[in-house]
Amino acid sequence: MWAKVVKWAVYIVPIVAFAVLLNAGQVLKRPMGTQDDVLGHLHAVEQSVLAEDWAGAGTGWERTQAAVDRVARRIQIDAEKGEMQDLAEELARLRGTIQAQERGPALEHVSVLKSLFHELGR
Amino acid sequence: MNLGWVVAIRGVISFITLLVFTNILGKQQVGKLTFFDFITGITIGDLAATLTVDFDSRAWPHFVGLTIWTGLALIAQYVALKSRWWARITGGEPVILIQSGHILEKNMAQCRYRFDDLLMQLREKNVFDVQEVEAAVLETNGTLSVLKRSQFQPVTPNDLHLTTQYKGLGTMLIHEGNVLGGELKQVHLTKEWLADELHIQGIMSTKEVALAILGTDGKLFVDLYRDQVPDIPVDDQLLSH
Repeated sequence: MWAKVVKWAVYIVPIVAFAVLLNAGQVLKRPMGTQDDVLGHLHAVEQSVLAEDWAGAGTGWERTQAAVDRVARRIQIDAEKGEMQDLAEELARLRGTIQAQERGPALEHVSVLKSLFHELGR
Repeated sequence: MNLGWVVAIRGVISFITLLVFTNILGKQQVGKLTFFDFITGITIGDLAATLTVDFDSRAWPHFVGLTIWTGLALIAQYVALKSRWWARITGGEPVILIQSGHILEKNMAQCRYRFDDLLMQLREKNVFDVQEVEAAVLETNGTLSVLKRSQFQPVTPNDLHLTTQYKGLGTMLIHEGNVLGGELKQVHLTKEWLADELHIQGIMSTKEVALAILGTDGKLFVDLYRDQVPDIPVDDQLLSH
């Protein structure tokens, strides 16, 4: 009886563990501190852009980039390469619009980034 | 995204998953698989491969696909055990290709089987003359079962009314130097008996023994790590060439 239970446990435990691991993206992309709060940093960038505080937006962008890098490391096992690339490209576009001090496009990129991050790993 | 690292992790996941799923699916030999089993196996293997290296989609859908295919294959196996109709659908049916010495061309055409295939598979069964065959059946796994006409079948002790000594499966008593206590108990023997038997054969320790099997005739077959293969005589003339 116990041998049968152990045998099935050997089969079931790794499969369940893998299923959990491959679905952990939604949990792992949530902030675990202040440095990896992607949506929080994006919100800060948005506020800086609205106030036309371009120096603040630049700092916010750097923090967002660092946060995205941290989160990407955690969720990369199950992540789609295309989604990660889209996120990286959109971040680069946002940086360009902040440097060019273009309010409208910067807000547009912030909005796209929020949407991409929301959909990441879903 | 560190692709090498991700491939390594996903590789471990798909390897262990495949190992578990193939164990659950059973121990059918590759040569005994039906065409349906074979295709199912290929699809499951392909899904495991894409789970490892396909980054265009998430790993989770591939994992679900792998699980679904294994689950369905398992269900199909169980249903086939209960329903002959389903077993025929998934595994096909054996087809008689030769009956009473006559080749059934209609049946051969039905399973798209050529005369060359038939002759080749007969040769594999050591049949070089079709006239020797009473019946031949193409099994669902693609092998050909052949019944030779009685006059071409080898003579057995039964035909000659001879009595033979019983010969069954032997019992392994030593494996790689270790005495298998459970097996020894099964055949109602002791370690002392085993030691005595080994001493008779000039073996002082079980550690010298790679394999020892007790036959149903009571004889102990012993293979040592130290192989004593007699020298093969070589012709001097051959060496001089």
